[in-house]
Amino acid sequence: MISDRVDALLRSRGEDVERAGHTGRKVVGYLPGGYVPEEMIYASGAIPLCLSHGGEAKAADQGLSILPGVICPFARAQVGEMLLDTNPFYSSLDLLVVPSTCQHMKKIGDVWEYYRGPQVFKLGVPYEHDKDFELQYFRDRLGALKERLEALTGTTITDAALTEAIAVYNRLRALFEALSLTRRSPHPPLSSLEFMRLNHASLYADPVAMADLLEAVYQGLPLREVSAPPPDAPPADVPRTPAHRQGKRPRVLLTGPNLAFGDHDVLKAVAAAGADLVVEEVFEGVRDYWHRIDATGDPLDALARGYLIDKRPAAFMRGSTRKRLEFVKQLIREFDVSGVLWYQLLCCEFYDEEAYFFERGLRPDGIPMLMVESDYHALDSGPLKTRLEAFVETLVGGPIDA
Amino acid sequence: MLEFLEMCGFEEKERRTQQPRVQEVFDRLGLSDQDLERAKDRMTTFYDLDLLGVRKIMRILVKDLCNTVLMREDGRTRVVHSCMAPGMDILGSALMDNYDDAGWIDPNFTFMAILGGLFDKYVPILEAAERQWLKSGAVAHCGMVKSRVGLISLGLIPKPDLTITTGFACETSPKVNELLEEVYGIPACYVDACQDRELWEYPDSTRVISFAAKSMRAAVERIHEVTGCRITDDMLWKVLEERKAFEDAVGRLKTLVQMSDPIPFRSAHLTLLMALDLIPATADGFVELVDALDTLHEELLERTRQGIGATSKGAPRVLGMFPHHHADPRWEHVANQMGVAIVACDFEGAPQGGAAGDVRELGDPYWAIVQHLNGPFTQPLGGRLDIILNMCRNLRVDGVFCHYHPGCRYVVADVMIVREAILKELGIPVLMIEWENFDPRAYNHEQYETKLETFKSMMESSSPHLETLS
Repeated sequence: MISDRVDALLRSRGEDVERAGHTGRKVVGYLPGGYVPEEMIYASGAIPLCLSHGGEAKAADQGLSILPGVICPFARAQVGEMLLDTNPFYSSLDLLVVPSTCQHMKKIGDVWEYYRGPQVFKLGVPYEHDKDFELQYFRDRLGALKERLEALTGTTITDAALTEAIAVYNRLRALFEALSLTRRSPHPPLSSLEFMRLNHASLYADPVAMADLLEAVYQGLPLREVSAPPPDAPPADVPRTPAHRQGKRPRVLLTGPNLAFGDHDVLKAVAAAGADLVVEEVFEGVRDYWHRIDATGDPLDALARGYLIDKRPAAFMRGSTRKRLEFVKQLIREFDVSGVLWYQLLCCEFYDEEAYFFERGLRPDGIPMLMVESDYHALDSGPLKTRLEAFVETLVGGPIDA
Repeated sequence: MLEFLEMCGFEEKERRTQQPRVQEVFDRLGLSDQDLERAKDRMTTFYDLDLLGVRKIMRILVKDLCNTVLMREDGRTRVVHSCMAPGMDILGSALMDNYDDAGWIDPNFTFMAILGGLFDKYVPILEAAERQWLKSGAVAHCGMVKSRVGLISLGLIPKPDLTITTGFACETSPKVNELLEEVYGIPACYVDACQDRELWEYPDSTRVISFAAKSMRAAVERIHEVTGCRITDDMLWKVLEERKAFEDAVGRLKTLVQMSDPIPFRSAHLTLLMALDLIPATADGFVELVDALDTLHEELLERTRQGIGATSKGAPRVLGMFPHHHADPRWEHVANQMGVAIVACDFEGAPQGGAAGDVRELGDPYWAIVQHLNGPFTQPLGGRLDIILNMCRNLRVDGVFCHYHPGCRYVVADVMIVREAILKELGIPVLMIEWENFDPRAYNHEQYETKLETFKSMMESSSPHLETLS
């Protein structure tokens, strides 16, 4: 069972973190969104942890003790975990790296710094990258992060170590891409819940052990699509295989700002409503796997370029809306999707703006979009169930059999 | 109309010459005679029209409104629009001074002051935005970005050839301009900074300022591409020097207000000063601005000498967190009526580590323009808190009026922590009031009045300053 193997990996990581407290090995957390090169933390010898717990009300509500309710529940949950101090992944940190992405995430850095002092490194992420000074700025900040990690761990991060780390994480990305592409099949061999459990586990687990697990899962899938590339293949730029709508369950794409570790109710609710989520395009909480880092040349240059320019832009990047819409449309074609579920956290204002544009942008293609908002409270409630069922019915043209 | 113009400080001859122009603008904005009567009532209710300086400020704002609406008809056919873009008014001044056929508009604050403050007709603009991608409800989109979308979608301002905004504080504003480009075909340009200052660096902001200066210089290239107008460093230095007199005049006035007891005019006027700050004035415009402010300064100085003010002497003094309300003067008016003296807001805090004196000291005009990033608004939490605590001490306030503006996540995220720190460090009460800084619909008189009564009694019972203030 995938969930058993994931649980075992996470238990093992928990033991690593606990041991680190005795051995002096450093633990470095970072916030999700895909702009912090985990390779650098890995190369320093520290344990990298992508802090991405969410989905449950307890931590988010704890955050309300110092943050107002208009801060998104995911950001509040991160602060809540800091305050609760009961999750070892959060309480064991020697350093937290906070990218300057959206205002909610930036505030986590401010608050963490205010309460925990100099345990925070703020990584400036330029919002555009078409001018030389922007890429240079990001590279300089990565250089500063490298120095900070070296000072923390006492380890010099060599080019060779960085290059090796890049290879480790490229392998991870390639495996996720291969697994993702199998879901183009008319009968996806992995459910969304299974895929996301693996993806979320990779945010905490040892990357080599995680990649081994992904490889084993891939090899063991009962049905692999013919066109799916082997795990070590370069990024896919291939035309999709013809889609075949053989089953009655409509195929849905999930998109939005955030799908946190543990925020699985929406995945279950869609499945229960009679649809298959076959691909996710989410900013925070899902490991990026569509791009690779160039393993040749200067590794710091490669990381700067790979993380700032080559990856899919998040919504906070200037001029990203149309690019993201086009990418979603590409996924819709490749994964034979008939509807889009926009899953948004309450008070995420700039994704809320985008939802308007996406809904209208998909309309000419005949792709309906449903927006669902969550504050981590009672997502399995009756109204949501009814809305999802109605959405599925519109996709299939009438009520479907249970 | 003539009476309205007189109340706004237009002199007799100018009233006759300007009446058709103002009428044309009011017609376009849908302002009726009935609206005009309401505006006259509100002006006498909320503003000190016996002060010539106030009337001169009103005149400047009405003229800016007309210049904005009629910009293309006035021959300025290449139009740049900015909003939530501090410092960009300086680029606007340079453009307006050097190109007769190009114009710059930064309309929001003027429209809020006139359509909101005077006419109480601001809500339709917000509702127009809510019908598009800035829906109302729990998501709490900021009224400032709603204003931008509302004004453009209703056609109340000329459709610009380029919009500029910044991401100094939030991603909402750039996203709005991106969608304006997608929906209305208006090209968007962004000036940014990476807000990655760590508290240990405070007050040094060199890194963020350097980035912002480069970003603004790049934006000027974009303006050149779109409008064909090149803004040179020399043009900017000239504006910075002209503007220095204006900033000095504002500074003198604010200092007088902050140091006087009683406060010499009603606190609703503080919003008007903020509106003036963003007008992309020409050289002549700066002369008018300085004249209005100096006139007002002299009048307030005289009031101070005579002990005349908007509250009684010894009234509790309050610092506002987040600026005063931009579209609804009732908030400050009622506070004054209940004997609470609002003396400043935290956005007016002195920049930390910025350059003072000769504007050319910094060597690069863009560095000079983005010095506002040393100010309190965009500092990391710890830095902003330091500035607020120092302002409370220096202004000897008895309480803090924490305007809780949910639309601005960047600032509102700090409010509970700042409140705790003020209580702990200074022991003065902090009133948390949830409002929308740009939306008159947020006002609830009964609730507000009750909170103010409690707040005032807490200040009177706890203040160390009330007895010593002279």
